[in-house]
Amino acid sequence: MKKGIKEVAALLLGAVICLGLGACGSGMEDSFMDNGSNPSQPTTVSVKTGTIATDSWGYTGSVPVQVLAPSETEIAVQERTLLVDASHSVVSGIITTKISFSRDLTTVAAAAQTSAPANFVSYVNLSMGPARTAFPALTVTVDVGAVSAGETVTVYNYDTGTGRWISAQTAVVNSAGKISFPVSQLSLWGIFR
Amino acid sequence: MNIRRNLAAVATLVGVAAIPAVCFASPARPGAYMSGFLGVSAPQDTTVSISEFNPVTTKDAQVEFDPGINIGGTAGYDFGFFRLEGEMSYKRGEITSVTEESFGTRYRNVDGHIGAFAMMMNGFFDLHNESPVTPYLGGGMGFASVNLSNTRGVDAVRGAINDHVFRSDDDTVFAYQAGAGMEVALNRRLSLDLGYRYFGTSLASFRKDWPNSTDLRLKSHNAAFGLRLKF
Repeated sequence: MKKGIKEVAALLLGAVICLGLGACGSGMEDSFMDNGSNPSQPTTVSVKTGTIATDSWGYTGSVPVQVLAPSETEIAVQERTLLVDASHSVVSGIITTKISFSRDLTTVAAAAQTSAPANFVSYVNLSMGPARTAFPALTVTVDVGAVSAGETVTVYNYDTGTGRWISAQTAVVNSAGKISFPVSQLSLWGIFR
Repeated sequence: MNIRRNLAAVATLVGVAAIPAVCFASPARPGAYMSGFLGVSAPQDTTVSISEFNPVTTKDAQVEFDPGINIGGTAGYDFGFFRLEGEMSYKRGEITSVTEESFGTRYRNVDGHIGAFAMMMNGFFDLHNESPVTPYLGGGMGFASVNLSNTRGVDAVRGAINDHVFRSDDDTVFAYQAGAGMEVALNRRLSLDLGYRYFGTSLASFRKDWPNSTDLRLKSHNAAFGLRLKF
């Protein structure tokens, strides 16, 4: 009899432990989402999604807007910015934005990893629905972390067509440890020392 | 020799054909009549106001047109020196460019048009004289269903293609016209009508719902050639 009670108690205990583990799992997932990260990506990538509205001619509003972005980046959109897609057609309506940031190069596509220049610092990936180009350029500000103030870094744009990183410009790290650069192509941008 | 003979024959034919018009003076002759006309409508450049709801913006675009068709018909009564008639007509202009300076947008190679189906009540004063040519002047008012077609354009500055510079819609608004012309009597019943009309509408609003509203006043110069039949 005692043995039977023990077996039932053991089974109940096992069930409780299993349920508890399951609950822990969903709780982690929620906090993951709250953090703005995509659960399907490694935790070394910060992702924020949001929306931006353009009118029937593809223009944003008459005041500048900030795109929702990870804490390490700021994406400033000037007033009356025109967004166009890959076929040069204007993009109208409510556009979902997705801004990704990481200091881990292994989180980009394999082709981009192999062709990357040396001394990678971080990257920002800008996605705005079907939009591929912005007129005028957006201003992207990035916290370059360990790079010292006054140091010059090079900003590259990854061309998915050729699979190559194209040097776009250099930028000097300011006293806040950040750089700012203009971005017309809404795609992957890498910062290298 | 043959050419001279042909020319003489043509001249004779034209002369004979002209005899009724030349000989027939056009005294006032009351009675009902109807007419049809065909011509050209040339919309004036206009400012189109566009209000966007999300994001909230307003644009004032300058729109230019190429001439289009002007076709219609009338039915009325000639009181002698004054005619009262009802008119139905359709006028159309082709949109050639759309420019918005504050956004720096200049759409060229534009594909779109504006049209107006008008129902008017007109009054004209006829200035009868001893010749077969009767000048007239007058005007009218009524309603017009103004249609703005879906309009596509290419931004000459950035090369961006916009398939919905304007979205298709129509609005029925007050319309007016004023004009003058001349009636050339061919015989006691039939006459030619060469006329000019300045046609305008009150403010037409398109797409008043989401996502934007487009407003314009249509004004156009219209010339037409017609035939009028008196009963």
